[in-house]
Amino acid sequence: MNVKASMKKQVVTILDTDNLGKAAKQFVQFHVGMLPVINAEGKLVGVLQLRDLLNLALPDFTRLMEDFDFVVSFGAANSIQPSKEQIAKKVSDVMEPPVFVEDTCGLTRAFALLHKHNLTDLPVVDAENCLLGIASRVDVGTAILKGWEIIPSD
Amino acid sequence: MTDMIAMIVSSLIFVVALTLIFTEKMNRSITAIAGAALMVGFGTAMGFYSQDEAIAAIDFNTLGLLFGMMILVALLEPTGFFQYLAIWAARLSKGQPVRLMVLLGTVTTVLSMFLDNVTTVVLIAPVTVLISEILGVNPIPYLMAEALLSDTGGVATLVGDPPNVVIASAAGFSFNDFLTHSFPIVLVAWIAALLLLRFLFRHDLKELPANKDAVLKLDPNEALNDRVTINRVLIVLGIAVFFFFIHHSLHIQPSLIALGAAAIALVWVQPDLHETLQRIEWNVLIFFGALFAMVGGLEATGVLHKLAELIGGAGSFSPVVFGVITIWVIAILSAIVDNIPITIAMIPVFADLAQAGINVTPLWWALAFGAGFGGNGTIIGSTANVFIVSLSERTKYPITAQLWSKRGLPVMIVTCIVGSILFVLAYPYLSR
Repeated sequence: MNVKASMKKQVVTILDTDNLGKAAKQFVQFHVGMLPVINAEGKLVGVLQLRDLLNLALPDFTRLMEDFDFVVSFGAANSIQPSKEQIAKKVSDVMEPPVFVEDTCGLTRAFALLHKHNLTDLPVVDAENCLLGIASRVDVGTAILKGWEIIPSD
Repeated sequence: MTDMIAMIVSSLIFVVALTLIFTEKMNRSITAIAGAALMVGFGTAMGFYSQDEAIAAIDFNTLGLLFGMMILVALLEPTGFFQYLAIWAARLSKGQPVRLMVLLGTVTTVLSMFLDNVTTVVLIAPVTVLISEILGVNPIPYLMAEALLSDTGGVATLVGDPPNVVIASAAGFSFNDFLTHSFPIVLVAWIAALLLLRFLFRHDLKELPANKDAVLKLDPNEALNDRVTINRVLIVLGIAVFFFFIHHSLHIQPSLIALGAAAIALVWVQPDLHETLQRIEWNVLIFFGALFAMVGGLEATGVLHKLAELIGGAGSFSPVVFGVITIWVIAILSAIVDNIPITIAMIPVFADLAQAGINVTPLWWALAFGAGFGGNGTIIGSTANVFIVSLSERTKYPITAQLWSKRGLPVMIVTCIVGSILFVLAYPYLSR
């Protein structure tokens, strides 16, 4: 079995030329954690993670300090908002290079990639690099479990 | 003729290295290693500088003292002690901006008088960003105050600033000499710097914090994660400082005290040595070692002797004026290049002047003041400045070179003015 059979085919995407404000709307509206970024030809050029947006409003000290567990109350840091300029940035400026697989990829390889890059979703493309769907960790993981003969089938 | 060529070659190597450090085209330690290798290479080929001479040129007193103190700091670093002090200062300030600046600046200065000031700033600055964000204020005044005040305050003690270590080793100054000669002058300059910062940042410091109470909810004790180690290292450090006070009468070098303290602390704490050694600033040690070797070549060819002759020949200056000129020239060079190579290069020059019968004791102090205060002038003037600026670039409030020239440069000028005035007034005392 390959990854194509386990993936979701209905995928919310965003264009590389869109801005982060639009991306934020998409995340909220479709309640997703990752948006594949495609260009005008529909080819996968990157991924935008929910955390890439959240990082804009995360207090700076969380990146600078090894240990801040002792900070009980974040005070004014609770209400940090991203600036207009940050929200106006293009998706292509912030997106990460995509970790993806072709639709013929086997399940174990797909899971190994998810594991190695600590991802929850994996874009699936065809031979022309056009986006076909998304296989999540749960999609791939349960598909693998289904193949385990040792598990009672009833 | 060959002497002339040797002088030109060695000067060329040194000037190119300084230029690379100044323009930041290459990492300063890599530059120093390459410069030292070229100096020894050409020296051996042309017969003006040998490998043995290069090794003899390295001041192991300086390296030993720096290394020993670095180990003590490395042991203290992961314990949360520095965070504890910063949070304690923040609570004490009750979130009032001016008070917060004074307290954080004081904590950083006092720490950096005894410990490496780069490490101090590296550990206090992130907590400063934390405190500012919780308060909802711009962290720049506090970050810059920490860098500028610790640079200034570090001049006060023998162990406070790397150039002091080099100067003390060359001039034979003791820890107490620094306390009796440098400390009073630096204290006045430090207060002047603080008042100036208060004035320069008056608009930022007027901005009342949105969330004062959140700072009071921070518990400094929670930041401590290894009280046993803190106690042990602080006890050893206390003993080391005590021995610094009396090292001169015991006829032992400060490096022995620092390395001895490091050894005792290591035995007592028994840390994961791999982790501790990772916290040592190897590139600083390498930078020093390589610079000594490189400058040794400059000395061997007689370039520095010529420079000393030139300076000695300018006898029309009175010694006091000459000291003031030293402060300013060294300060300007330290601001644009790096105070460590400048200090190391000046040592043989002053030693030469001393041989010519000039009393160089006040000049050593002028060198210390110039090297220390000059570092305040630019974002690359001191390692602490470089760190603060690169840290700020990872926050919402990046510190630009322009901002530094409006806030840091005045501090350099004022501290140099104060230093010069006091130098003139205290000249007879500084000559002893």
